[in-house]
Amino acid sequence: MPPSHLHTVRHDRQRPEFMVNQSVSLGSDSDIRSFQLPPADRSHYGSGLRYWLPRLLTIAALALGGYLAYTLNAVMLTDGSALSLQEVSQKFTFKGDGWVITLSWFGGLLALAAALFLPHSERLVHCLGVSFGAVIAMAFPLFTQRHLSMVDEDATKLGSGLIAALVCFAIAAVIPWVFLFVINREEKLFGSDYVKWLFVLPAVAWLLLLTAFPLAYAITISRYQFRNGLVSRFVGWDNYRRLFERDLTWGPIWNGLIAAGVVALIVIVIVMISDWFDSRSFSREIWSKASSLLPIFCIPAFIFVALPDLLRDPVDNAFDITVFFVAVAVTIEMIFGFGLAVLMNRQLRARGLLRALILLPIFAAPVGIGYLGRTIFYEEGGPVNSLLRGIGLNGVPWLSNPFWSKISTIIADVWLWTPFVFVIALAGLQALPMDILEASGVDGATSWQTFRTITLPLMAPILWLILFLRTIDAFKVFDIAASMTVGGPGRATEYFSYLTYRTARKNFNYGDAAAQSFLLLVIVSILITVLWGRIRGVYEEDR
Amino acid sequence: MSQASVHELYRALISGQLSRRDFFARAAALGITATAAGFMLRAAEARAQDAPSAPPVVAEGDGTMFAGQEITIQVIDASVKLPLDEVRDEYEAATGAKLNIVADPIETAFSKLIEDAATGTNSIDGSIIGMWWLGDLVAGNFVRSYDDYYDDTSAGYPQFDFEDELPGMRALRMYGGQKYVIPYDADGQALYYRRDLLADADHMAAYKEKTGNDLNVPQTWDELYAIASYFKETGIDGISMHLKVGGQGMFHYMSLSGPYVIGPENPVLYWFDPETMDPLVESAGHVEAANMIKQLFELGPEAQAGWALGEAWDHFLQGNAVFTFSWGDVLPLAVEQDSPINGNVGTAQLPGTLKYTNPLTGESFETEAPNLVGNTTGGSWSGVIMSGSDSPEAVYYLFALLATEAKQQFFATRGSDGVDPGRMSQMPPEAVEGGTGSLEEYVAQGFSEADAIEYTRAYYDTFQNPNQLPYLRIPGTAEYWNSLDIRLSEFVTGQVGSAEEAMAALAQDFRDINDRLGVDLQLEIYKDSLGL
Repeated sequence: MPPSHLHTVRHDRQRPEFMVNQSVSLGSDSDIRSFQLPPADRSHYGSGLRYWLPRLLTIAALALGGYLAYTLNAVMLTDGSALSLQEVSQKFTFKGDGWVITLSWFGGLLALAAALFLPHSERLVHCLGVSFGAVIAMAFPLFTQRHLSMVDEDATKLGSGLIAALVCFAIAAVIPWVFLFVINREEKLFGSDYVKWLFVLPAVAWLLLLTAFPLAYAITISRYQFRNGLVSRFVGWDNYRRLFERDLTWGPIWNGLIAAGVVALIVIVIVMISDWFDSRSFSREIWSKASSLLPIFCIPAFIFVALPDLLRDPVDNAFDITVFFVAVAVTIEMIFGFGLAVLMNRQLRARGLLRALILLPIFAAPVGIGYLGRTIFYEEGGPVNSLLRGIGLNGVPWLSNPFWSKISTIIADVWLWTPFVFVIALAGLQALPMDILEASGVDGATSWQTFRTITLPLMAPILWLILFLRTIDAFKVFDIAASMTVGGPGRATEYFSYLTYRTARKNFNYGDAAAQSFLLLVIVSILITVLWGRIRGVYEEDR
Repeated sequence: MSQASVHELYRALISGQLSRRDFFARAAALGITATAAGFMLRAAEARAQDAPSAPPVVAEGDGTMFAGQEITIQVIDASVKLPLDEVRDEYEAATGAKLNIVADPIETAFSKLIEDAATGTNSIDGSIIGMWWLGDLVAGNFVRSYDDYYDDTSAGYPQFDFEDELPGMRALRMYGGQKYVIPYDADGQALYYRRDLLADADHMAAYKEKTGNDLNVPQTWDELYAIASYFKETGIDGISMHLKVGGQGMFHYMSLSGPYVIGPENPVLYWFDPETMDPLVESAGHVEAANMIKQLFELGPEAQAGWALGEAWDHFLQGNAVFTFSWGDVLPLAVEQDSPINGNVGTAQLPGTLKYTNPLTGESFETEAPNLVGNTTGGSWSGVIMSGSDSPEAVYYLFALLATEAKQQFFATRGSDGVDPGRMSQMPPEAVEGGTGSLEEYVAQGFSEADAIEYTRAYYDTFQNPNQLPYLRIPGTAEYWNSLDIRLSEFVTGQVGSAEEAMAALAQDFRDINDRLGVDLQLEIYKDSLGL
């Protein structure tokens, strides 16, 4: 039986409904072309008024609740006066309970998203999502009711605004279920394949509660000022404004564009040279190759040139040196790690022992490596300088010189993370198809030709993936600088994460620290997007 | 790190807290066995010569006063923790309370304390704080005054005399007329010099020939620079400083800069303009002081920029530098460690200047005699009672016990506990008129009489000086000083072109902090802290 038949799953009455018409194949091109997504649930009210009515009612209830909460009274006082929601919210925030209003907002947005985006085929999750979000949105009114004395000594009861919001959110939570059970009742009440959500929901809940909500709360924090670790006042977007220079000009933007243009030219030239060496002519694929690489190099070039001039001291310095650290450390780690992997992929005596030795640093805690580095690079009598002096060289000011202190942190990082690159690259090399490599040898290719034209292209997806992982991780460098140099001398090794740490934990300036964190998040997200696009492209080319 | 850690281990060893086996086990864990072995030999010698005995037991009580109570005391993980460890049994036996000691690294101790108080966790009942924390703690209402306990002489608390401390130090313990800090350690920087080198006939002659001046203990920073330059040329480092970021290098700057800014015509204007809260650190005196510290830096090893306290002390105590200026620990450590320069360490009040400049008006004042300025630079680590404590009386009892005269006299003579002299009862009458301390206590610990007299006299002069460097005690002090620490490090390591540029950047940092914390509020507290 040919392999394609072995791997082809054909239409089968016994298969679950969501897989009907889905043909999955790993065998032949025709099977790949027949790959289809499962069809949408085309039940009799998949669109139109019966589809939209419960959603519109839910959205209206949520919006009305929010509107009334913000426009009517939130809390009544004994003298008949009232406090608005903003006032109540600020009082909670000042007392360290700013998470409550964030949670309510978070719940409301979650319910809205569920109402708008989950299709009818996923009606059970739609109902659960809306109800879960609406119930969470009720957190603020309920918390206020339980902590009236925290709002004001004279607070007596909830105002009409918060009561109305409670009612509206409760209605929003119920509406989808009413339609599900009564008005739009179907034979298959919850849809056909809702069981799959049982497997997904824990992960979704984890992400929502432990990732998405803290992120939302960090946005709240970033809009407040702190004093002695407590919120002192609302400052709007001031913390973000403080990241940037007072007098912003277009100069840095132009510089960034010029840098991106220069980098684009360099990339194109390199691609052309490479193409020329491959075929002694320029192929039509040059432009497609170059265009797939341009975003990876041009966007970072623009960011790395423009941003430091736009940012204010000391954020600009932290950004600058972090980029330097990432570029140098990750490049060396990639070269060393992949080189060692290629070396260890051959038949060597004591190969197992050597691999184990190379892997050892990866088991050490980064903070431990930092302290160890401090001992090793100790300038007066440390082992490295003693060795250098022993062979007649001058000692190097590893920790007291701005340049060398950066180098010493990079050396420690390279020592720690090269094994990571090594082990993944080695796994990739061992998974390469031996028949192709052997065939190239039979055809008379030299080792270098085999490496350049077969090994390297086949390893490209894995190498891009390693680069992706290491780049993200390197941007978060903290432990080594914290333990080895404490960010010094001056701010020479105050990498971005360490600056944020110092801002928050040394200066109790959590607002600025949160704004700095978001800036880093945005920068890293852009780089991730660019790199991820490239990784997908490489995988698709590979397929 | 390694040297500092070995020192900690060494101190624990010679004070009898660690067995030799434990000493080596811990040293090995730090990967510094070879260095430790050297210290081990020295420790054995030191023990054999004059093993420091334990402090006297003074607590009286039948174990019922605070029976059933439990208190947690925070202290930095440094030498000042030793007396707390020693007093634990005595305290628990006398009061019946249980004492928990939490040691935190100096880098994180303050943030942990503030968080504990601000979030209402209140797991810390009392803390041995650095005096620059006090502004934040009082402004946040996180600490309580102990006037009531102090005044209540019938309640059975250990008695100590608040007035026993010298005026410069005493002022740090109060805020708004109330006592918040129970005296324990007293910090101020003094000059330590190699007496043997300065008194060496060959050096004296060579120096006279080179400069035309006599080789004496320097009275001004310019003189000190000239002497340090001379010795640098002979192969001995001119100075040893700790200028690592986070290594308390900013205290070097403060102590050195005092006489460039402060003087009889300008007793308080140093940090900010008390009318506008605008920083004064860009002024001519500050710039001149910054230039001097950079010049001095160049007369020591470049590694100083990466040194914390322990490394700088060690460099001096090993005989590698002619000067250092630091806290009261240096000479007692030389004695205790039987340093190669023990017996040749002179102590003097910090040098002054012949000109200082009012930072507000820019007016300069020239002086005929050196303008010497006292300082209380440093932590002066001492106890406060946290407002959220359920057992404030038990906390007060502990800190009062540590503040008693008998214990303090002992602590002052021992290097490994980090408690330095700042009271009349720690000053021998041979050194200070009216002093009630005992020269014999110092001699018993291994000091020579001359060393002890010079040492206590230097600290008396420092704390008693009518011109004092104003101690910043406002909210955000830690942040202002972090900035100073970083800008100073940038300047001495050549990352900033000039002192003017460095101090301008520092002033901008100060303005940013003011803006963020609120200029008006900061101004009000600043004026209060200066008594204006």
